[in-house]
Amino acid sequence: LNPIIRWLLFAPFWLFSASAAWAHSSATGMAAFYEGALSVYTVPCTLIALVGFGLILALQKLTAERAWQAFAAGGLVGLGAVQLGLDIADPELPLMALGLLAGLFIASGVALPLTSALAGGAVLGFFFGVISAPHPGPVAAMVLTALGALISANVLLFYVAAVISFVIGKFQYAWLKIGLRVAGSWIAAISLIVLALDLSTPAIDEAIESDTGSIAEDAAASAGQARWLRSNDRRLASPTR
Amino acid sequence: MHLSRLMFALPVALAICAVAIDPAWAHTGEGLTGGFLSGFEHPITGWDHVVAMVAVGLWGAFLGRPAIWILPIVFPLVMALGATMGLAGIPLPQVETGIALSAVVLGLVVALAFRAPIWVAAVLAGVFAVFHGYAHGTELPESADPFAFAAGFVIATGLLHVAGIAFGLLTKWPAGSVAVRTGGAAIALAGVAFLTGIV
Repeated sequence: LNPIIRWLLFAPFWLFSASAAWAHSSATGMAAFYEGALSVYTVPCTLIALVGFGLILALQKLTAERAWQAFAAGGLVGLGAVQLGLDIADPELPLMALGLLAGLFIASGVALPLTSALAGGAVLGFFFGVISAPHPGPVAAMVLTALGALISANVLLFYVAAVISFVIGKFQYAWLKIGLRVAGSWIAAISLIVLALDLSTPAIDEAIESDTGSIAEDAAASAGQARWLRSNDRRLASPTR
Repeated sequence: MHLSRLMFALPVALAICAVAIDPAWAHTGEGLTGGFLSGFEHPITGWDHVVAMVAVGLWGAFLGRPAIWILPIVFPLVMALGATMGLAGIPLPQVETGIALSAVVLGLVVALAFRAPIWVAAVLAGVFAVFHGYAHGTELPESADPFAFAAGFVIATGLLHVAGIAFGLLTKWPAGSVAVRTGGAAIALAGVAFLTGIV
């Protein structure tokens, strides 16, 4: 690889190392952008689906570029659809299902056909766009939040796909690919569990969505899931959906 | 050192140093961190889980390819199904017995160097994975963060398999094979202790 790209691959480690000084940004007006960017990493279903998709891109170099383009196009369509009035009650479910599928494909070692890779990328992008659509507010803030989410997601995809692809290409060890398949099974397992949890608590989610906090608290308490409720509250309090 | 090697080694070394810098421990115990840690600790602080997971890795290493990687792939996937059953409230009788039995059976197959066909090994590991997953699943809603809890216990389970595989690789040498089989016997004995309630 080009030395510049090689150094760039390790840039995130240096960024993460400078932890304390980044707590409070001095750049005013950029909060919306940062919040959009961070939403990619703080919404678990988004993060795991993107990591799964990134691993597929790394393993399937031939289809990676077009699948990535399909993801980007799907993201724009999803963002636009929400602004045009589309309302999907729980976009986390399809994202978790896509994470599960991605994990299963990686674990099984089955090569994804081009059409499936394109369709998968587009659908993932669409639901990512839906879940990342900003809440109504000033246009500039909404655009910045959406932009932050899109850039952040694509940066994450680049690093997952590029780092894994680089490592596989550089070190031709068989156990590396086996390790990836094991990682795929972990992604599928985590997605399945969270998907099941999401499906098993529809009443709680419904109550939260309709902003009847006390009912949601009661439902959660009776089910012994107050902490799950708090995590939902935190998610819903974020500037994106 | 050759320049191209240096160009690779230097960023890797810097990256390791960057990650090694003292992290900010300002927020611990709640949310994602708390959920991950409690999920991660769940398999590794329960001896019945630990010995069974290690036994899966040992058996995989003992059987060689493809079992060495198929078992660690099958186990978490089926374990997730078990966790889903627990979350859905589907009754599963004798969960603790099933977990203890997993240590007995998996320990014995390692101790006896039982070379089962791959599908038998996968089915056996999968059946026991249901019990382990069910136990994790029923405790999952109490966690600080469900996603983090799930990620924690899946990763911890996988790492226990890796530990078992690493130990199991000793079977390449005659003395190592004896050590691994002895380890399997110890796991089976521990399983008996769990089963009879001694431990």
